[in-house]
Amino acid sequence: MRLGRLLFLPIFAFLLIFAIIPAFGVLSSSLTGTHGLSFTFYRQTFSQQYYNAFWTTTWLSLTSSVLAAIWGFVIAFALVRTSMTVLQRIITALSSTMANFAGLPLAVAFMATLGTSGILTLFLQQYLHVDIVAMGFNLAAFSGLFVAYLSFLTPLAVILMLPAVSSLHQEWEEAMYTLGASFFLYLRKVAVPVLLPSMIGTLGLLFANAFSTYVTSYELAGSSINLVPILIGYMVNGNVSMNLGLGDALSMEEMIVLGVSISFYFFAQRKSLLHAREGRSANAT
Amino acid sequence: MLTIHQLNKRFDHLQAVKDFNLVMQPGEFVTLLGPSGSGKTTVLRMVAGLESPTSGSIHLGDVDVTHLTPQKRNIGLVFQSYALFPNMSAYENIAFPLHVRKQDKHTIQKRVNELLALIGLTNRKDHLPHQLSGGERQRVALARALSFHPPLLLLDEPLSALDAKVRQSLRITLKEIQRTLGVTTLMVTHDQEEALELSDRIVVMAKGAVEQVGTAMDIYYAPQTAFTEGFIGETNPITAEVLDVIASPIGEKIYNLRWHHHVFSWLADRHIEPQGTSITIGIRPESFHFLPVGGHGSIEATIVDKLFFGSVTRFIVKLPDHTTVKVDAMSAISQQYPIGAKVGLLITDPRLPIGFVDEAVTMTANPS
Amino acid sequence: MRRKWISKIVIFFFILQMVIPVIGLMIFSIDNEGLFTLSSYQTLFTDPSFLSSLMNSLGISLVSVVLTILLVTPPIWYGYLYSPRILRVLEAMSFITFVLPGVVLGLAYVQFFSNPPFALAGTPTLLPFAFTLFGMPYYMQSVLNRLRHSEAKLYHDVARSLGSSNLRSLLRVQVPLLAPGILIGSILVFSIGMGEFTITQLTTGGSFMTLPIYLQVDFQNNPLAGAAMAVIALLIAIVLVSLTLGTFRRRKKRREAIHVNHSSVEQAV
Ligand SMILES: Nc1ncnc2c1ncn2[C@@H]1O[C@H](COP(=O)(O)OP(=O)(O)OP(=O)(O)O)[C@@H](O)[C@H]1O
Ligand SMILES: [Mg+2]
Repeated sequence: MRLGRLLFLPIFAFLLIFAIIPAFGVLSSSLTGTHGLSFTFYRQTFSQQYYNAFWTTTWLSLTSSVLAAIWGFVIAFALVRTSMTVLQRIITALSSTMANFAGLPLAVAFMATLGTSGILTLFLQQYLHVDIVAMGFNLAAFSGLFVAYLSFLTPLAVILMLPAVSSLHQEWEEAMYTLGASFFLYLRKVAVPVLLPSMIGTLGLLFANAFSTYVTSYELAGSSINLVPILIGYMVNGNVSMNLGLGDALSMEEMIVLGVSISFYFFAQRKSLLHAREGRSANAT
Repeated sequence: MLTIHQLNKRFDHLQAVKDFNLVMQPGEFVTLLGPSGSGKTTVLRMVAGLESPTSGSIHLGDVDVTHLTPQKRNIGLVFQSYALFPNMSAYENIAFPLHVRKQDKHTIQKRVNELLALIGLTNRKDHLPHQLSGGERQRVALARALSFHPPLLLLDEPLSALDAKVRQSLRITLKEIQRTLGVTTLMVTHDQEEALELSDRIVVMAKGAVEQVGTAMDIYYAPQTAFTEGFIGETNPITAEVLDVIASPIGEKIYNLRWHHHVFSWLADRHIEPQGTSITIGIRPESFHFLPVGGHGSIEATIVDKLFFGSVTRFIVKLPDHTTVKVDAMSAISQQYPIGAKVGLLITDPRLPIGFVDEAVTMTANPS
Repeated sequence: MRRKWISKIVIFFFILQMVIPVIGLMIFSIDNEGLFTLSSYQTLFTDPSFLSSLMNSLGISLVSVVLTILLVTPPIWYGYLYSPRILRVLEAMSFITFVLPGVVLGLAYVQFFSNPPFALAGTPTLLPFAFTLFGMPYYMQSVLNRLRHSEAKLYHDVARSLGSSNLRSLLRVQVPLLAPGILIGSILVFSIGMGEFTITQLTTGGSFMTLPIYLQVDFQNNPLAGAAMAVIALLIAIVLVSLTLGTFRRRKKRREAIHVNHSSVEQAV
């Protein structure tokens, strides 16, 4: 039996070589200047440009993930209340694709649809006389990225929230009604409080996802918007001059942001009341 | 109090409830009893307003509530799964409907504490539902449904998720609370013992339709349909000859029947069969009694098997024509009747006053 | 009272949100100044660079799948049966990719694997490892789900109590039992491989043409052909994901299907 534990060896070695050691490599070279230990790179990250990049990335990620979380909650709620099996399946498959596997093609789809000569842009101009470009909409700027981010953050929010929302017992809602309460009171007093941990966790994950998004912003905006992942990418691509140390420092800061927001997710999962034994599960006791 | 008239409910292709009628008196405890899928819950949900009937009407007092939303019906409902709000303590759960009704703080506090005392959970009032045991949750759910003084209380299999001991003690609690508050109660169950013990009247349902309505005694001793007879307890179908029909002091019709030379009295419930015909009735195992062989006109029978059930023992007894019947007797006396022993068997109708039993026995003692 | 129509409206808007860019892309790919054309698709399938990048993507993805299966399946299976503690550690570590996104990992690889003997940066060698890393949480959860739902341990014990050897039980009982989980996990890893852009671009400097890399370049030079390629890439992704969710399968018990899929996706995301 002991011998079986050898099966763990390759995978831990793999994780060590391809994740942990490289991550520590980033840490160590972010702290290594020309004369040993140095905080030069970190000091550089506090200059105006990088400070702005963090600010823009945070703001973009926060606004888009908050909206996606709220909208995703509403959608998950609606999905649970319809009994259309086939539709639910199709939506699940579509959401999962958009949320996890669409990346570049989705960005391209946005350019084809909402770019300056995109299909929808032209359609709106010609038939509805709405000129979204003149109204300030620009795929390569904050407004465009915001819409594009929503297109994968919303389905992600739906997927993350559905299990929690569908484990709300229908009896809670019905009990509310027989006790004299309205649907909105049910939302306010039961549904939202019970789902709050799950919503916060989802928000954490959405924020991390948005904060680390590279493909979408690279394809849509490239260098015309100042975002942390784009800047890190440029350090590697070396379109300008290779500055790996600065990239390492930025990466460390990004990893801290991601770590904090993702820990919300794991923490919130523990707090969830939904898994406490109540109601239907009492049958099993 | 509650009047349900010709209630029907269809789900797509399924007729879940068919021509359901029921009139409940104030303070009455009525039980819907039936196998799984017989439409009990659906009836209850329609009364509560959670499901809208396909046709028919529901009146609460003089008010037609058929199309009212559940909020406006003011009916207390206890769910099978309790449906306590998981984010609220026991106290808050019970107080919730009072908050909805915008009662003042002091009234709420007084009422909730009163109910907590009634269900014996004063010291647990700040626990969340998942910190309570099944039986405690059940009592909180009951208190919550009663807190706003609903004129009608609906219970959907309130005890089915609990283990046997707790169920037993909660039955008593439930009955006491119902009696104390005098609240009209409609309960759903598929546990016949529960129904027989708690109810003033029982509605037996099968396949969405009412099979029989009656008191526990009626349902038990005088099942009117084969379904009811088979569903509730055990029976021995016997075919007996009608010797005579007489009237009791309170005007009931009573048969004198003969079966294997044994003559006994039996309350006539269905339309009366004329003298000289044969009828088939279901005899409960405990309606048989043992006597010494040859005693008082009893049938001579042989004990072929004994099954120990705890407080009662079931005897399989062979009759002169080699058919068998099931007979229950208190285990305390079962020692007197070993397997193979010969006994005298007779039937008494437990619904009849003692006098009638005696009369029948006396009659047979002097065979004509 | 159920407010079903509100739910339907909400769902309608959500579908619209997901579908509009896709439809826009499709129209874009067949729209030749107002006239319908399929020339972009024709160009694509006669374009040797497209075909070679497609082959590259398929190859790299398949290698990643094989690597994942070999590397991840045995420890999960063993851990589930005998060492749940180590399994828990492994499970937690598989989520490391959430704090190590593509750009950061790319930057790390470029530095760490740029000196001999590991001068792998600039070649596609690192890609299967990176895709395996990214795919690990998805793959692990698929297999674990299967283990949990199929009572693998019970069957292992039963097989052995009936006198079967460990190895025989493994091959005849356990592998068939786990096959669906392995399949779903593999499809997910494969999907990641087919769509990955960031690491590929950063570690190979764009010298290794995969489908996404070629798509990115081609869309700039020839938007019509690029759009056609994006349509194809999206279709591939949707079909693959639908396969893992059993969307095409007929008549499975609804609740169960949805529940299982969501929880697996939830755990994996
Ligand atoms: N919302 C619904 N949609 C479709 N069919 C339903 C619905 N609710 C109940 N039914 C069906 O109606 C029939 C009666 O169901 P109901 O829940 O009233 O039975 P029940 O007597 O309460 O059974 P149990 O003892 O199992 O609780 C069942 O066949 C059930 O499948
Ligand atoms: Mg029921």
